[in-house]
Amino acid sequence: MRIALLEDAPDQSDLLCAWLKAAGHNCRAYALGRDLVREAQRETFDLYMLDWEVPGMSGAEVLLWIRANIAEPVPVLFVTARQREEDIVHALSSGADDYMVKPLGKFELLARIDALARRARPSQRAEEGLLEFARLSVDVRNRRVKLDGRDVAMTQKDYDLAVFLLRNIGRLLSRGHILEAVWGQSADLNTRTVDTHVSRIRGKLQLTPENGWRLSAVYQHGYRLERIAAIEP
Amino acid sequence: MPDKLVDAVDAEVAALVPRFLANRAADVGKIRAALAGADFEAIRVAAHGMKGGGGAYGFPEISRLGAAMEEGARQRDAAAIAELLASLDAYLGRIEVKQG
Repeated sequence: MRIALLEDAPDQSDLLCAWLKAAGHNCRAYALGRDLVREAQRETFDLYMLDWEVPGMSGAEVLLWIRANIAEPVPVLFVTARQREEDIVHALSSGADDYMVKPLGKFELLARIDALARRARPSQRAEEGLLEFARLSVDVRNRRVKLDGRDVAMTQKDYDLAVFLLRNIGRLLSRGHILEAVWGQSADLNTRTVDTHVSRIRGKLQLTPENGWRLSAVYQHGYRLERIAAIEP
Repeated sequence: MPDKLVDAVDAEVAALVPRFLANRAADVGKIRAALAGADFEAIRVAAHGMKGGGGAYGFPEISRLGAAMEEGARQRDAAAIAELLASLDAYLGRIEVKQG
């Protein structure tokens, strides 16, 4: 998962990101609420982890911004040393999906993140072996894609990109998000790479309106793959 | 009380521990200065951060002392804060980190 972390204490952000990365997640840390908000306007994330007390725009204010401005219901986990009942009630009532009181336990944190991910995107579960659509099917365990029952030859990255999009149908995904998920966080690639591969899989998998798909580029944001009623040519 | 406290830490945390402990030692100086200036809000903020961080790094005593100092700052209890600060300083001086 691609996780945005709001935490102004470098000791804490480094530790939490170390835990998340060791568990296979990508972690982008922001010390200021306004920096996270600015990034969230052009990038997409799978989950937000917010501390409450940060300078300037607080975690609670960032939460309100997320719920007011990001259409997709991205999970939000509050991680804060505030532990009064009224604080917990305030955060959950304002739209947080879960709340953990610091000091955090690593394994509990990772388990709660997994639980939020399961509820938010059940189709993205790694153990799901088969993705099936009308003419298209993906055997994830064996890395095979079939169109109308026939194997489609794909490069590794085209396959990974296709699966990522098919597991996130309906979601707007920024180019940065796609790059991290498919090519890895340290990939030193131009975001045009994403455009090239998206174009290729659109053709190979016939992800077109005639076949009940809309794979659209959202200006200055990224891509969204949607299922639609097939349009007669 | 043992002469040396030995705390085991995970490998992924080990590289971060020295800076964490150095920052806590710096907090002792900051809180001492804030106490001299009766700046209880500065003490509360530093203690709040300590409360949230210590346990995650494998030092629950730091979280405990941070929580107590945060409450002391809320109560504007300089004497209690001074005593807790001395405990924190002594604790930090006895830590020996062993990779778990």
